[in-house]
Amino acid sequence: MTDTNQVEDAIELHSDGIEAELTQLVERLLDEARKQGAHEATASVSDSISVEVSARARDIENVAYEQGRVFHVNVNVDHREGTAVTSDVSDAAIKETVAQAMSIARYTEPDPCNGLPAKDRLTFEFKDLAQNYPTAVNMDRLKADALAADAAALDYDQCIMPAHGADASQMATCGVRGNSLGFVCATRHTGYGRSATAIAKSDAGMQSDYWFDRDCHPDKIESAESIGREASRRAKRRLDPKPIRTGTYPVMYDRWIAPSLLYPLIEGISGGNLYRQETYLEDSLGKQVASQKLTLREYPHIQGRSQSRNCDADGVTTEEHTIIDNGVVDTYLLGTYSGRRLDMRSTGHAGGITNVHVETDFAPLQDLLHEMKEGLLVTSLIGSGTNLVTGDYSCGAAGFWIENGEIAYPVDNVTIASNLDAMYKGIVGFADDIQDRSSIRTGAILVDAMTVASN
Amino acid sequence: MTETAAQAHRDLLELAQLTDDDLSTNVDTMLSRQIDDAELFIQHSRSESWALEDGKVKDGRFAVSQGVGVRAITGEKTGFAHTNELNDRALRKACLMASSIADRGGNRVAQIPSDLPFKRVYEGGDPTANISNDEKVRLLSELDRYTRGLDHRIAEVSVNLRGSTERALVYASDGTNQFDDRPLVSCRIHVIVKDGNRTESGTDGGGGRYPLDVFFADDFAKAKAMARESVRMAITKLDSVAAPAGEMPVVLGPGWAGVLLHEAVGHGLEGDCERKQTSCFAGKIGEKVASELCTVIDDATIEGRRGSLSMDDEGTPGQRTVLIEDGILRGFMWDKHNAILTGNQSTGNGRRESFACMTIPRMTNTFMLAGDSDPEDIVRSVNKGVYCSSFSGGSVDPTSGRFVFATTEAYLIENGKLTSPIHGCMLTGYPWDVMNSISMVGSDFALDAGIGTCGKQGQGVPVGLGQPTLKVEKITVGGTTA
Repeated sequence: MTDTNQVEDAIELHSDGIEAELTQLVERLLDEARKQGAHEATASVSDSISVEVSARARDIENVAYEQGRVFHVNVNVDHREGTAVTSDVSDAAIKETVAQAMSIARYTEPDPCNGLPAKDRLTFEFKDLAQNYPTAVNMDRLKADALAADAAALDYDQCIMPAHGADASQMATCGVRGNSLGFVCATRHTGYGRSATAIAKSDAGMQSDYWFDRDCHPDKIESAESIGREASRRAKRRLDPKPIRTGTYPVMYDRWIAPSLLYPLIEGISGGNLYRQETYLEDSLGKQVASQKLTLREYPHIQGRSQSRNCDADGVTTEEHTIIDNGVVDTYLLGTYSGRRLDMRSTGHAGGITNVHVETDFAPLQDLLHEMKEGLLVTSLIGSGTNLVTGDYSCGAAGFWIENGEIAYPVDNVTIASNLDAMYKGIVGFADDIQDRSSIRTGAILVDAMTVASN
Repeated sequence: MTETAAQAHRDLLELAQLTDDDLSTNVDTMLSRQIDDAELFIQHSRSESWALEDGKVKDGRFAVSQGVGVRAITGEKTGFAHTNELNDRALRKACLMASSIADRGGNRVAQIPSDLPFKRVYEGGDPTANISNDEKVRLLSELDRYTRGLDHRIAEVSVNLRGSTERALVYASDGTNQFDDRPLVSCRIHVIVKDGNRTESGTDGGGGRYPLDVFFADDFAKAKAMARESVRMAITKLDSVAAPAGEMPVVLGPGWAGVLLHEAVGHGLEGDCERKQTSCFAGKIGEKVASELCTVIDDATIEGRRGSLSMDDEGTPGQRTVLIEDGILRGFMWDKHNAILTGNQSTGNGRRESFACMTIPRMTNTFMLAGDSDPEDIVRSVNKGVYCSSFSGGSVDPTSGRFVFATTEAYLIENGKLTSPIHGCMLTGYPWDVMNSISMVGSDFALDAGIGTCGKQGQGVPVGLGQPTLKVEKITVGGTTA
């Protein structure tokens, strides 16, 4: 038998010197790029460590340790670009990786929109975003957590069967990015997570569901017991679904899947899709694209949130933005390249959004359900059926049938369909059951009418 | 092993700064820690991709991924560790971490590795070796020019060309010492068309485990055919009308529509679901699970296909496995771990995205065999329904069995004839309802063109699909016209 302590000792967590070590590697990559003739270059190195323990049927099932380092370099020669990525961390790899990127840049065509941001847009001062809470790996604790979540799931009800189990994990990442204009950004993140899956069984069949929580801080995640119970509660409530009549009904997205309703709107006004003409929201700046009740504001610097960041993937300083103002597009979401393609200024969105909040008059959930009277409360979606080019939307869904504003019975195996334009403009209201776990902070969202198809 | 393969095997070990002795010593040390099975997976992959958009070849990317994954198994428990540092010190550390799972193992009777013949179903080596970078760039530019010339309504063209090679060595305590060298190439074309205020898109592509040369032969004939297909699809959709909603007969075209089988039955027949009894098919061997017209196969041994494998990621030779025969459930797809625990044999379906991921049972090329019906008769038999020829993909919840797949090209069938094209929509159903309501199976069997990637537990692996034209009597169509 291997001594647990021996293993814990063997896990080399990041030392305080990790940022300096990776910064040096980034500088060597940038130096090498300059030596090989790059006019501009961006380099990054990331190093991550993770430990994950899973339990199933009241016993430990898997223990996984991961450790990895990746180099990434992008070179620009006369507006021609080349990129190379490697997990070969040997010294020789630095030269070779840069050489590969350079050889690609010889063959790509010049694009005047390529290149680094203007120096005055780059970030040289960094706020503490409070995302790093390293703790020594305690295998016994992780095992106990995974077992506790699994046991809590199984103990919830007699209808619960052993499923894929539960897990507990911790990870630490250090990433350093830099470019040839002297920009260097080092970030350290920790992540702690717990999750559980549960299967509930009745004569009519089996239903499974899942629950999880994740945070930078080890003490801020939901308890293992609570994670397990919630997975089982969610699976049990889905048992014995009934078909409904195909028709057009109000549809409410519960608070956990409500962000997925808003992501296509974010994607639709993002630079890459705009310049590729891959969005129905082309030329939407200043136009009404959603209900007046929808305002989206972004807060990139909230402490303790893993999505927060000082600068975007290009190094451009992130700022607070109103993205949608009472249903009107207030800004596109642009990186340096897509900004140049559209003849606009980068908004610091290379790599996507940070923390986006729905700001509106939230209504009590019960009031919204009563307003909806009869319709579908969607609690899970399956499959990606969004066509951003046309706005066509069709998704597999499961949830509950609502009658007289109350939950009547579970519904499974239906589709909900409409067009994004009609859906966003048809948002009736937002519930006050706000959740803050995804990158979009919102409560449940009620849409006036969608086609629900059932067998 | 052929001379070239033996050399590639030696090259990989040299690159990893490891010797055969290092492998055996580390595996023996793990076994001394009360481990039933110990396995090392050493991998080196190189890939390059070239992308054109806005008329310019503007993106090129070269990537190297290398590392070792170590697995220690004791009973139902697995310890896993990986590192991308390749040397004996890093390997020893990973072995120590993986063996921390040990608690009471070490007394399992040694398994004997499969004695199936190791049949190469593709040539190893770099599939891009014969094509210079100049030629790759010329293909992209020529394809852009050709595609734009096909129709004046084309607003944007993007082309992506990829080639990769993956060398993998599996060394395990059951005696496995197997090497594979896997090429993979693909070419994809995506177009946006505009007409008045309507915008639509079309995509086509293909690929497999063969040299990139295929796309360059006969003046880029294969790539140009993809360009024509993507434009045809996009232009057709400009006239599309709202899709119907509700349960109705659906005819699925040949080839890529096999995504239905992949979702409806494939995932539920992967061995981990059977061992954990979490699939709606668990324990149903010998029972009727589909219409008697259905025979479904998973076959890794088809020459050069995207989902083909000479060996799986546990060193087991690729195989052909009958899953459903004339509607009766015959078998599951197994990796070693789940097979051993249930008293089965691995079917060569143990796969992993890379050395950094755990091996789990996965599909290879999964398809339904041809039937007797004339495809035209199948369409003619439908009074009112939908014909689907292309899909963007699907998903399944193997526990309830509920699956979905999204159409990208579909038509109304009215009085036995294809009429208007319809907007993309989701189809959804339960496998037993849908598979048992397959009432006609066409004689026009086809495999897909080779662009499928299957995702499971966060790991993507290349797969193949296939089927003839078939008719499902009822499935829920998720359009907007109720």
